[in-house]
Amino acid sequence: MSESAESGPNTAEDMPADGAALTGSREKSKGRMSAAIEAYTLLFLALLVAVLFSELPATSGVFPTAANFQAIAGGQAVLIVATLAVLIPLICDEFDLSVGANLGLASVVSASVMAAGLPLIVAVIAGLVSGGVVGVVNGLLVTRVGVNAVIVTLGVSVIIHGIVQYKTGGKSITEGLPDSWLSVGSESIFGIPVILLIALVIAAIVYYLLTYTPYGRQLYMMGANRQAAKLVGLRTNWLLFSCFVVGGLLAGFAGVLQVARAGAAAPSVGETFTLPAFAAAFLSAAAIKPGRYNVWGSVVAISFLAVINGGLNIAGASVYIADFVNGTALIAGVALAVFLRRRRGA
Amino acid sequence: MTFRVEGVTKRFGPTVALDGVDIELLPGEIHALCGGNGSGKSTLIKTITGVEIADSGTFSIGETVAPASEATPAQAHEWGIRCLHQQGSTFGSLTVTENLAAGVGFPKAFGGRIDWRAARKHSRELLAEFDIDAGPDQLLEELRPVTRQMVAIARVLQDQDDSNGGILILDEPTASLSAADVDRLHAAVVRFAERGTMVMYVTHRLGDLPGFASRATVLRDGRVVGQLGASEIRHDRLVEMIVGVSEEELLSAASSHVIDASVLDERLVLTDLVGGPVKGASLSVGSGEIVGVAGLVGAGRSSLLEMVLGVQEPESGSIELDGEPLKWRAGKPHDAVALVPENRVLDAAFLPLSLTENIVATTTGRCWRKGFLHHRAERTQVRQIISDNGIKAASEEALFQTLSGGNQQKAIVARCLRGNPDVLLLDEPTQGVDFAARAAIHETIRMAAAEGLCVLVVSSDLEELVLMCNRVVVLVEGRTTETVSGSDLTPENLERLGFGTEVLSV
Repeated sequence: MSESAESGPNTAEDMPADGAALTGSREKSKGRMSAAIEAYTLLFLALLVAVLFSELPATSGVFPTAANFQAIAGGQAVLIVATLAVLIPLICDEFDLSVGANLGLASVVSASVMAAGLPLIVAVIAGLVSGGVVGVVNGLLVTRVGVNAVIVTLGVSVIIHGIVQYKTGGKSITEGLPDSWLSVGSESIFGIPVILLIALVIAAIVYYLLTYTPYGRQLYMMGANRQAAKLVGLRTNWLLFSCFVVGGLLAGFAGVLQVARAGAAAPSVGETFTLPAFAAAFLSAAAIKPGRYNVWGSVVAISFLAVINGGLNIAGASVYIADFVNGTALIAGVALAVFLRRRRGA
Repeated sequence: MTFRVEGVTKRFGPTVALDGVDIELLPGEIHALCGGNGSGKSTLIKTITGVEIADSGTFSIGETVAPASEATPAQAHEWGIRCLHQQGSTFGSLTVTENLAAGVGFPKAFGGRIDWRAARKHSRELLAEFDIDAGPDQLLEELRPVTRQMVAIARVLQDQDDSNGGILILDEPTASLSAADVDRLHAAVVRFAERGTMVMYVTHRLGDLPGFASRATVLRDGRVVGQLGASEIRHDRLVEMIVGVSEEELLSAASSHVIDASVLDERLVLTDLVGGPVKGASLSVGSGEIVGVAGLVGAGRSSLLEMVLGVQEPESGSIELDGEPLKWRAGKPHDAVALVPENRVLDAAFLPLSLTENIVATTTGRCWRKGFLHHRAERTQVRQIISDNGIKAASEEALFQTLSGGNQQKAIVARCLRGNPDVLLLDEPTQGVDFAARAAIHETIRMAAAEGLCVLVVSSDLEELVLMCNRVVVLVEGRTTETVSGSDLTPENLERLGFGTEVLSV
C-alpha cells in the first residue's frame, strides 16, 4: 500500500497518458502485494513457530496435540480481552496502565459475589460495574482534572492493588464458586475452548465498534490528530472519557473470565496481564492492518507470543523466559510500528 | 570590515524565493530589511545564517569570500553572524542565568557539576554590559517583554569574541512590544551599532524606521527593488516600494466579479467582536459572497476566524447567522461553520489515516445505515470527490501523508464543503500550495459560493484576496478599519491600509 502511494502519482505524472494507466495499475498491484505480505507476516511467523515446535524432538511429543492446543488457546482468552481493554485507549493515543489491576479487582469482586451465592448474571454485572467505575475514575481524572493518563492510571492501579489487598487479606477466593462458571473456563466445544470462543465474540464486537461505527472512526481520528479532531467538531473530551470507560468495562469482563479460567480469584493476578496486553496491542500495528492498532492484529500478536511461550514451556524452559519474550515483544512491537510509520511517511 | 551578500538566488521548486539579491552591511550601521509577506526576507536570513542552502551567489566578510551554496550554520557563527528569530527564543520558566547559558553551556566545576557561582557572575557581567534591568535569578516570565527580548539578544551576542564587529540579525524584534518598549529596544540596538556591530533589522512596523535605521533595503518577489539612505526612509516611500505595483497591473488585477451589495441578503453578521488580539471587528457576509480579511501578521485575523468557528470565546460583541446568534458552546465548533485552518499539518490533517477517512471526517455519519458504516459506499462517494476536485492520489485508500501539500489542501477544502456548511472560513487557503492547485482551490470555492455559501477568507497573499473576493475588510491591530471593493480592490490599496496605524502614528 505504501509503495503504490509513493510511486503511483509520480509515475502517473511523468508518463504519457496511455502508458500511465498501465504503469499505475502495475505499481498498484505490486503495492498491494507488499501490503499483503506486511499484513500477514506475523501470522505466518506464528504458524512457522508452531510447525517448528511440532517437529523439534524436544517438543514434538506434546506440542502438536489437541490437549496442548486447548491449553494454549484457552490460556490466551483472558489476555485477548485485556488487550482489547488496552487497545481502545491506545487508539486514542492514551495509555491505560490500570488495565491489569482493574482486571484483578473485577475478578475478586465477581468471585465474591459468586461465593455469596448470588446468581451468575449478578456476578458478571458486578465485575463489569467494577471495571466501568475504574474507567470512569480514570476518564474523569484525565478529562476534567487534566492529569496525564500515564500518571492517572498508574496511580489508580496502585490504589486498586491496595483495595484488593485490604479486602482479601492477600488470600485467593477459591470457595463457593459455581461449577457452571468454572466449566466455562475448562470445557471445549468441537475442540475449541469455550472461554476462547467468548473472547473471540468480544473481539468481534470491538472490531465492529472500531470499524463499522462512526464512534470507532472518531477514536482513530483522535489518535491521529487531536487538535484537528477538535476543529472538525468532534467532542474530544467525551471521546477521551469514553475510551477509558469502554477500556474499563473490557478489563472488568476480562476479570470475570479470569475467575472461570483460574477457578479462583487471586488478589495479584491482574498485574501479570498489563505487560503482555501492551505488547500485543503495540504489535497489532504490525499485522492485518499495518500501521494502525487493530483488533485482529492483536489476536494474531497474542497467538504469536502464546505459541512461542507455550513451546518454550514444553521444551522445559524456565518460567522467566516468558518475561524475556514479552518484554522483547513490547519493545520490538513499538520499534516496528515506528519503522512502518517512518517508511510510510513520505 | 563589511559584510556582502552578492547575487544570492534560491529556488523552491518552480518558485523563485530569492533572485540575485545584493546587500552590503557596513560596520556600525542599522540596515533595515523591508518587504511584504512572502517577499523573501525570511529566506534571505535563512541563507545568511546557513539554515537554508542558496542555489548560487556569494557571501563575503572583509576579504574572505565564500560561495553561498556552501554556507553552514557553523561558518555563519564563525563569521560572527548572530540571529535572533522572531519567536520562541527564550524559556519563560527558567531563570535569566539559565537562559543566558542555553546554547553556550554552563561553566563547569569539579566533577562536571555546574559552577553556579561562576554562572551567576557571568550573567551579572552580561546584564551590566548590555544594560539589562534584571537579576540573574529572576525567571524570564517575570520580566517585561522588552527585557526578555534584551536577554535573548544578550544570549546570542555573548560569545562574540570581537565586541567591535560581528553581525546581529533581528527578525521582527518588536512584534510583541509596546511603543515605549520599542524605543528602549531601539536605544539598545543603537548602542550595539555604535560599538561597531552590523545590524540587520527586519520589521513590518515601517513607522519605527525613520530616524532609527541608517539604511533600508526593500525586497519584493525575491528581488531587491531599491535602497534608501537614512534621510530617504519615510513611511509612504517604503510602502510604495514594498507594494510596487505598476498602473497596468493594478487595472488588470481589478476584480471583475463585483456583486451589488445592496441586493445581497446579509447572512453572517459580526458586530463589535472583541476577543484575544481582536479589539473590535464588525463585518457582514452575504449569501454567495466571498469576503476577504487583510491585515498584517498579528492583526488578529486567525482569532477572528476562530471566534466565528466557535473555538475561541468572544469577550464581547455578537456573531449572527441568518439573524440567529451563534452561541458559544464551550469550544465546540458551530455545525453551520467549517474552517480550513492555516496550519494544515497541525490543525486539519489526519496524516496516518487514509484519504477517505480524511475527506469524510466531518460527515462519517452519512454512510452509517442500519448499524453499519458502509465502507464501499463511502469509497465510491470519495472517488467522485477525488475526481471532481482533481486530487492526485494513488487511490482513495492512500494514506493522507503520502499526498502532496496541494492535494492535501484540496482534500481538506472538499471535506469542509461535503458538510454543506452555511459559512466557510479559509485561513491562508493556498499557503505553500503550487500554482495549479491554487487555481483549482479558488475555482472550487467560487463554485461553492455561487450556490449561496458565505465565505470569509484570511490571506497574506493580497493578490489572492483581490482575485477571489467581492469585498475585502482591512483589520489593523484587531480593529476593522476599511472595506474595499470594486475598482479600489487592489493589492496596493490593501497593503497601504494594512499598515494603517503606522500612517497615523507618524
